[in-house]
Amino acid sequence: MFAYLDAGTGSMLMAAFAGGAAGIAVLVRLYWHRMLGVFSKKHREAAEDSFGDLMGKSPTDT
Amino acid sequence: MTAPADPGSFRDPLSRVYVDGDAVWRGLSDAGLADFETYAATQAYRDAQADGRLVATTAVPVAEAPIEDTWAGALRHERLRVLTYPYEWTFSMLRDAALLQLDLSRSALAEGVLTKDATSYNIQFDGSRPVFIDLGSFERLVPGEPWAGYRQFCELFLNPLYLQAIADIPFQPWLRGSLNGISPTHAAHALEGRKRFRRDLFTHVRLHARAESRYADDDASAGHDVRGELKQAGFGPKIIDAQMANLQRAVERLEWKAAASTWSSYGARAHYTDRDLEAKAAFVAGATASLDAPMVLDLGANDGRFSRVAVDAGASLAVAVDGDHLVVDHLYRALRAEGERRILPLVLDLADPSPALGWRSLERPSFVERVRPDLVLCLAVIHHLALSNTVPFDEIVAFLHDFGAMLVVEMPHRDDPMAARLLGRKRTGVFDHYDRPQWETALGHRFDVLKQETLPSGTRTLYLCRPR
Repeated sequence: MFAYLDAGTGSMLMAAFAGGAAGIAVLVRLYWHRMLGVFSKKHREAAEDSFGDLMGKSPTDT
Repeated sequence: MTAPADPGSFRDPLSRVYVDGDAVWRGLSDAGLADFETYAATQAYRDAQADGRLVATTAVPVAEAPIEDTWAGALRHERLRVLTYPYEWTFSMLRDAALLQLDLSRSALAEGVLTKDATSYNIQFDGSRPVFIDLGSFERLVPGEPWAGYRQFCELFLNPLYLQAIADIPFQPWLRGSLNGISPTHAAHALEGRKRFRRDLFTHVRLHARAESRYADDDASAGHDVRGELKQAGFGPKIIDAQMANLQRAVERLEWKAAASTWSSYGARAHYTDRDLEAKAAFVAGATASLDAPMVLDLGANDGRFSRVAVDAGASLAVAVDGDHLVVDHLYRALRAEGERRILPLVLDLADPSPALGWRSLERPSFVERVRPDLVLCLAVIHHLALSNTVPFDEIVAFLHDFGAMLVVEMPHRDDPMAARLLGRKRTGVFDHYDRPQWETALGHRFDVLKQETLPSGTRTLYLCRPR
């Protein structure tokens, strides 16, 4: 997406796993959200829109 | 005038490297320049510049750099005299390089800058000291993004180190065969059944390999937006730092418990007399001192004894090359402990030096193209090349001539104890050509002999030669 290296999905999840207790908490939340269906396309777009409104356009996202 | 672009620097679209004389120039795109300016404003950057962990760098106007004017920004880097690659480093060198990568990544992260990659090719050795050379690697942290360099760190630092430390599999041939390093899956296969209960190995190798194969379909089909999901689940820089700290602990506890290798006690040099060693040292010192602060390439350097003689006699740098990984690793650790920075130890089989590798075979030049010394030392090597590797004299001389430098070469005669031992393994008559007159004829085809001296024991002769 932004970086010139593609971090594979597995490696990205591993990043959280290797990131100690806080990282594992992120994984738990991620799977919990998946179970609740928080990541439906509609929901995601809404979340990204509001994130964009809040942060402005991200610097490398050109 | 635009300097030639470095053929190894094309991967990151945000910057590109050009080499010109004593300097290395880097062109930066708009985003690359903004990234650099952010990093350059940090204390982490100033500290790393001050103590030499980062290659000396200054920002210059694009118009003053020999690069295309389409770049938004330009940097000038100090040029290192020799480029080396991880497949020529020892275990401890790769380990120190890994720790430097993590050290710089963590200190930058604390100030909102992330290293976008983590490749061992971003590190070079300035003598015996690792230096990070890729300023294009630092970018502004994007909140919620995972560290894209994690996989690369495992492939190019951690897995090679694991292989050597845990399975005693040398990593150099593997890295030379695969510039992308050792994938988690392959590392998991190679380390299967070993150290089952070691947590860092489980996480970074086994689980990493399983996660990759489990989510390979996701990568292909873009099923989940894992990046977005991680962000929403609260992923942030604290977790990246914990991940890097975890890797740092894993690297720090790695140790290569190698048994003695063939040459590891060679430093004792039982077969030499003290007088021979003194005469040899004087010859090498004289040859070095006759040149102006030369860069010396010591082929078959073993424990680095004559590389030390060369730097003490005024050489600005000695590249100490030997095929014995363990001996070179000992040398590296000794140099680090002493703070001796003028010697760069490398692992290399002289009968099979590093070829040109990578994209169009231009990305990573061959050893002979990269290492351009002023003086070559080739001591106690000829009999190994001629007898153990059965390379003809003419070929050996041609190889030495490839460096285009002055040469000090030692020829052990047939009656030298070491040469006699190697000859004793051969069938009678097959190596009759191994003698001094034939050697001198071969040498004379490509070099002018300026000086020669037979050592006090009378079984070895040294030659100082100029290439023709």
